[in-house]
Formats: sequence, structure tokens, C-alpha cells
Amino acid sequence: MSDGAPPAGGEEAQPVKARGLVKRYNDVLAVDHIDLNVRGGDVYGFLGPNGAGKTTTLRMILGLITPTEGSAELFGRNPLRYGARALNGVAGFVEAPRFYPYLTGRKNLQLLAALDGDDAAARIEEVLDIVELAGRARHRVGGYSHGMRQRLGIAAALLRQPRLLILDEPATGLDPAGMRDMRTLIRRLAGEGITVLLSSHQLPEVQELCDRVAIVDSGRVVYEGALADLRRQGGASYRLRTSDDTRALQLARAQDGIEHVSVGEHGIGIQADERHVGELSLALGRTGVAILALTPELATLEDLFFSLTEGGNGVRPDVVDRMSATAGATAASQPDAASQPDATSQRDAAFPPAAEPALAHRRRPSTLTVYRWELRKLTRQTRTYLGLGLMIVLPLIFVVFESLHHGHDRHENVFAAEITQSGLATPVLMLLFMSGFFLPLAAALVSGDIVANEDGNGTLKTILTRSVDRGQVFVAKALAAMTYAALAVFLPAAVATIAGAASWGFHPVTTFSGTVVSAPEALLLVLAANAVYLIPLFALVGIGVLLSTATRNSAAAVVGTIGLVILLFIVAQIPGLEAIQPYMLTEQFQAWQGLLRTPTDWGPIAHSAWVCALYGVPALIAAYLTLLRRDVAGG
Amino acid sequence: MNILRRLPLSRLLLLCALVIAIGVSATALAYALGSGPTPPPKQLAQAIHDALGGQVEGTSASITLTDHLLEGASLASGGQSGELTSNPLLTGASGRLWVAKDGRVRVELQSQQGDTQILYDGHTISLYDAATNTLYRYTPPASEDEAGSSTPTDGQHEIPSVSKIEAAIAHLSTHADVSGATPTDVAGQPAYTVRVSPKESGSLFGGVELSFDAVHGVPLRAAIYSSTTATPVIELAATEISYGQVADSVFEINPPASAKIEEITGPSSGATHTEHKSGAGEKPNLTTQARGPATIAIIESKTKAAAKSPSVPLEGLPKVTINGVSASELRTELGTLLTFERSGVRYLLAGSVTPAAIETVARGL
Repeated sequence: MSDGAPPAGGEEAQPVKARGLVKRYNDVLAVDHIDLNVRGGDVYGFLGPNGAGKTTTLRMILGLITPTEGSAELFGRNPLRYGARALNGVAGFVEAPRFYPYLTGRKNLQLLAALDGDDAAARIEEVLDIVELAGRARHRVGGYSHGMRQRLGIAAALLRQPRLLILDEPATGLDPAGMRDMRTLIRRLAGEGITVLLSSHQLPEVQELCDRVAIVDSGRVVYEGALADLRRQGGASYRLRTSDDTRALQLARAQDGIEHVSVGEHGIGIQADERHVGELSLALGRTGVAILALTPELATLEDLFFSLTEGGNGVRPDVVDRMSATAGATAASQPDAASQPDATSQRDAAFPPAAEPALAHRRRPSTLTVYRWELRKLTRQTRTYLGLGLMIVLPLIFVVFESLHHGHDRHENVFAAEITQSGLATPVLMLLFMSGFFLPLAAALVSGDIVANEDGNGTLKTILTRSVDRGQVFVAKALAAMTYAALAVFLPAAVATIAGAASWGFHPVTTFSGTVVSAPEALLLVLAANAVYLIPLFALVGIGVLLSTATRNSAAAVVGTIGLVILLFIVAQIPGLEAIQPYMLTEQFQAWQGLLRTPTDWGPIAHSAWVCALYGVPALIAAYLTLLRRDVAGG
Repeated sequence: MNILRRLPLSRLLLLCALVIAIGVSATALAYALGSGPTPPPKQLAQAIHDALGGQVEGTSASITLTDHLLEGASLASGGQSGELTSNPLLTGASGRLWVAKDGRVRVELQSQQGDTQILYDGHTISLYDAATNTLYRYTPPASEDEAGSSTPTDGQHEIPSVSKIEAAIAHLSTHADVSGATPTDVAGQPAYTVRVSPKESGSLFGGVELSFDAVHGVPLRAAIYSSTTATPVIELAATEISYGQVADSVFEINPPASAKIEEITGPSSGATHTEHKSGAGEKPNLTTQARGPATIAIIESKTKAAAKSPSVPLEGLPKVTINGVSASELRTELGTLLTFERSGVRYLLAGSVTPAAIETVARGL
């Protein structure tokens, strides 16, 4: 099997082709060499009891988790190799669809449409109508019922105009009416030519909707093929009524290929294939026994399912063996869709070549788009305002306190001594005061949460099954965390400058060196000092993002990040460690002070830049690799 | 970048280890290159002679002042004592140093409370303490040959010959042990280090160490040692240095107009005092006990009956009793200071000796 090279020209590749998929979690073998072949136009049922490995297989197919062995392709592209490009034309959800609870249904769709690119945003109202959620789209998803979320999941999938729809237990948790509506919808989509891969343990649902199935049990495929073949192979039973049942019974018992002959209230029961049943009917005619009724009685899917997954219950063991053998043979002999005449013609009818470019050349969203949405998500979260609110309140409290206690002698530093002489001393004092703990705390609040929050909401899988790569998501999140950190630095600086200037005027300021600088120059220095302070803060953001990615736990990452700051402060106080102090991240929080000396002391700033790079860059690389390689499960 | 996802974990870890190893190697290499070569071994006189031959237009350096002098001394944290203990001159600090070719020098010791600037412009030594917004100025009395000159020296000087330097070293060696020139590197510059230690024992003063640039002759490190510890008590060392012309503006310190100015006059009867604090009436009397580095200086000055002790910075010091009188004592690793008042006379004893030695002398007064 190739590693997923995209098909050439207008040739359509198989929607899903999996070979030898294995997923092992330590000693647990969740998926054991699964092969799947979903062909264009199929409504493909993926059946199995709970814990059989269905969802794990779907995750591997979508590239959410990495197979231990084997590979999967979507329209000829391996998601591990092609990333989000492999998902072009593919939509759906694994397990329950997850959304951002603090966003409305419409906002969630707008976000996902932005991550889909193309003209997905133009279809939002249309898909909301399809799933009958238009009336509730302005409400937050946090208040949605399970059924509404399932429908929103379908709507999110339809935004992508999929050619392959992967649905994992879509009817789970729905009431009977909801289940009926869901089946109707799936049937309609399939009728429009969309290939559907339906994972379910609802047998009536599969029997009603699917034409081909794979049945998995304990991580292995025990059958793959047409549903009709399965039922046929399940061994046809017939009920026979004749003009002379006694004579007919004798003939049936003597006839080759007729098995399990029994007599019941409704006539003679036999099990045989069609050829032997035909031979029996001829024999009955030759002996003058008239056939009054010959009724086939096919095994139900339920019978076959339990037979395959539990080994018995109504279907003969030899039939079970035959079906199981067929599963292996099907996978082994399954030709690629392109080389299968009937499948190709069927597929061509459903997917005319004109649609091909849409699949191959979907316009993907830029990282800037993803970044903008990360910022929008931040604006909808309470913690964002908690952190920024603190950054605004602290300088205001400080100014009010100083105004009430004006005139008292202060000697903490040069700026404290002249606090009432110039309002421009206030932002410098605030930076001195907040640089050690409060600003790192604000940065940690968002950086520690920005990836773990997705885990908490279960939405990582939602955004990673759109048209953006993990790398884009990571860069956008890191940039968003840095943007927030910058805002957390400049906001109190602005508040302190305005409040200080309003209270004590816009006057010259004395620097650490004792040099008096004019007010405009001091304002520029304040701006520059805050900008320089961002260097170590960005390094801390990198560490926060790493902890957020690695722990998948917001609280742990936030506490871990700020805990590291406190730990470094403590270590810096330990006598005998003076040699390593210049290389501690927390020491770099003071580098900006070099700007407030005359002449400017660039030494600490340059030193801070490379020391912070030593912290921040490896942290970000490690965070990126962690996110890139991690299995996105759960949710 | 999807290759990073598909790469087996073992190979990825190997790749990471490789990158880290390269990084560490590059850092080690850069450190090795940055540490600079050590100069060839030389006789001390020859090393001094060669170094003095180097000419620089000016020097700019990052420096570190380490000061353990008052470490362990219990100074009160409030008032003037508090300012004293937070001054970077006494606590140690990092900073910068500039030296012009004409001899002007500026030292900046950085502190979050406000920097301390020391400036020598060729005539006047100024010390501006931004934390207290105070400018201290001291103008040494001009010698006759300098009186006619109004500009700093031009940096031109005659280099003493090797034999003259050897003679000076020999003279010094009669009182002190003078080490050879130890090749080393300081601030990335090839340097020689020489150590001078007193021959006589009994003093807390353990010696001084000076490192100078082997090529340019610029002092790169100076350290004062106690006889009781191996690490320097006070050390001023360059961490980075560059040679080249220094802008004149660097040597201009412009304190705020509100700065207090303290003019310090020259020594009078052996004691230096500031103008505003003088006025006790009579001149203090200076005597000494013992000889050499263990000398103890005793200053006696009469005080007015109603006047409180003027030694405000010393009031927060630990107390000891000297013949029934409470005395304040400052213990440092380099020496001891003791002061007390008795019968209208204030005694100030100072020496590079242990507290026990100085208390014994005080009890004998």
C-alpha cells in the first residue's frame, strides 16, 4: 500500500482505505489489524459492541491518534502525512460532538467555518435550517440538550460540504423522534451522493441505512462486506407447505444439500442454499407433491451480529465460520476502488469529475484566521477579564492610595521618592511592583489554559478535524497567549500613566541614574521598558503553553507556571547560588531597568534576550512536538 | 513538519538529544572562545612593564562589586542605618565603569533603589546616591605642580623601566609578600594577577589581589581578602570590557536640582569630616597603638554635655560594655570599629583586628 500519495488527475480515490490498523495502549490491544474499505457512495455500517475498537479506529482514520501499526487513507491521503489536507471533503464527528460551551451555536459554527476556509461561512444558516436549530442558534451551547448538540454536530459536518461523512453513534442519547429524524437526515445525505461511514451499535439503524458493513469484535474485523451477502451467508431458511407433507418430508431428508429438516405447525422447515432448494422443488414435482408455499426466512442482522460477536444464538456455527473467513478474504482480495469496474461506475455516477477540484484544492484558512479566532475565544471567557481586571485595578488602587497619603516621605526607590512630582513615575513604579508576580500571574492564567482548555471542553478533536493543521493551531494559540500577555503588561501601564498624570501631572522624571528626563522622553522610556519586559514574559508564556499541552489540565498548568516563578525567586535567594542567578528567568524580569539608566544599559537587555530564548524556545518546541504527536482522545 | 509526527519516538528523542548536544557543544565552544587566551608566563616586573606600554583611547566595562564587609554585622534597618545597608557600595552590585584616556573615571553601581554614581573628572571626586538624592563632592587639595593645570591629564606618561619596577617590587617585598604574575583571563582578556599579602600576622587584613590586562595594562579586577576567609571580602571585577573612545557625555552627571549637596573637606588632624557635621568645637586627637597592619587608631574628641552622640549610623550596632560604659561595635571581616562616650569624651577605635583585641585596648583607655 502506498503512503497516501494523492491520486493523479481526476481519478477518485477510495474514501476510506485502512490496512492493518493496530492500536496498542501499553498491554491493551484496542485495535488488532483492522482493514476497512469504504467505497464511494457507500452507506457503510461500522458495527460492534461497546469497547470493540470502533471509535479508536475512527480516530486513527481521521488522524486524531497515531496507529501503532498500519495506515489509513482518506481519498488516497494519509492524515499523518498530509495533515489537514487529508481531511478535504471529509467531515463528521467521533464520539459525541463537542463545542465551546461559552459560545452560541452560531458562533461555534462561524468558528468552525473559519477553520474550514472556502465558503463554509456562507452555509451556516442553511445547515442550521437543515438540522432545525436556527431558532436556538443564538443561545450558548452550554445550555443545549444532548440531542441539540448531536444536531449541531451534523450541522458542523455539513458546513464542509463533505463527500465522506463519518458519524460515530449519531443517534446515541436521542429520543425516538430524534433518532427517526437523524436516520431520515442520513438517508437524505446518502441519497445526495455522500459516502457515509456510520459507526453504531444500533442494529436497526444499520440495517435500515447501510448497504455495506464491517463488524468488529475485540479489536478485530469479523466481517466486512455487503449487508445482503452477510444475511445470505447467514444461511437461508425456508418454510415449505405441500399437498403431502409426509412424502415431502421423506424427500427433503433424502435430498442432498438439504439440512436441518424439521416439521412444525406451519409446515416443514429446511435450511439450504437456493440451488438445493430448487432441486428439492423439482423432486417434489416429479413425485406428484404440489408445493403450496415455499417461503424464504432470512436471518436478521441481530442474529448475525450476536453470532459473530458472541459466537452463537440462532445461526449455525459453520455459517459463523464461513462469514468470519469471508471477512479476511474480503479484506485481502478487496481491490482498490479505481480498479473495480462496478464500483468505479457507481462512484462516477455519484461524484462527477467536475467536483474533483473542490476536493483537491480546498482553500485552507491562514494561521492568521486561526489566531483571530483564538482571540475571539479569549474575549468570551471570564478568566480573560479576571486577569485584565486585576491589571486595571492594581494601578488605580495604587494611585488612590498615594493620593490619600500624599506628602509622606518614601525612599523605596527614586521613583517612589518622586511619585507626587510626576505622574510618569507611576507606570515605572507599577512595573517594578507588578513585574515579579502579578504580570507573570496574568500571563500564566491564559498560557496555562490555552491548550488544556480545549481538552477540558473536548474541542481539540473538533478543531483538528477541520482544515487546519496542528501546527497552525499551535502557532495561533501561542500567539494568542503572547498577545494576552502583552495586553496584560501595557494595560496597567496605560492606566497608571493616565491616572498618574491626572493626579500629579505630566512632568519630567528622574531615572535610576539620577538623570532627569523630559516628560515625552519619559513616556517613550515607559513604553520601551514595558516592551522589554515582554521578553521574559514571552518565555514564561512558552513554559505555560508547554505545561498546558503536556498536562492537559488548566489548573495544573496555571499553578505550575506561576509556581515555577515563585520557585525561581526562592532559589535566587539561596546563598551560594550567585553563579546561576544571572541565568534564572525571574532575574530577567528586571532587564528593562537598563533603559532607565543614562547612558542606556543594553547589557542586561541583550543578556535577557538570549537567556529568555534558552527558556522560551525549547519550551515552545517541546509544546509543539507534544501537541503534534499526541493522541487526541477523550471528549 | 508532519515528518515529526510520523517519526518513531525513539528517533525523535535521538534527534532532540542530538540538537541538545550540538547546542551544548556550541555553547561550550563559545564559552571557551569567549574566555580568551591566557598570556605567556612572565616575571612580574616584565609583565607590568609590557602592560603599561599598551595604550587605550578609553575603557567601557560591565563590572560587579562584591562586598561582604558588613555581612553578618547587625546594622539597624531603619533611618540612616537602613540607607547605609541598602547602599550598593556596601551591599555589592553590578554596574558599569568608564575610563577616559585623560583620566576621567565614572563608576555606576546599579540598584533598584537608585544607582550610586562615582565620578572623577580630574579634579573632583563626586558620589551621587540616587536613592537619597544626595551628591557628595570631595576636591583633593591641589599639589603645587598641579596648581597651574586646569585640565585632566592627557594620559601620556613615561613607562618605567623593568629595573625600576623590580626595585619598587623589592622595596614592597620588605613589608609584604608579593606573588609573581599569574597568567589568567578576566572578562575575556588575557591578564596577569598579582597578590600582595602583609608579612606580619595579627591582622584581619589578608591581602589584596590585582588583575590587569596583559596587553593594555588596564586593571580588570581588584580584591581585598581577609586573613580568615579564602574568598574576597570586597571585589571589583570587570565582566565585559571594551576599549575605545568614551563619549564626554558619559562623564557628566546631572543630579536633579533638588539634590542635597554635601561638600567634603580634606583631612584635618587625621580625620575626614563633612562640613555640616563639624562644629563640635575642638579638634579630635588621633593616636595609634601597635604597628603594621594590626595598628589600632584611636580618635578622641570632646563632646558638649548636652549634645547627643553624633555617630548616628553607628547607633544601631551591637552593644558591648567597656569598663561599665555601653559601647557600639561594628564587626567586619576586615576589621573592627568601636565607639563609646565617657566623661565628655567620645572615643572611636578602629583597626584591622578582632573585636577582642580592640576591646582590650578600649578597656585600657
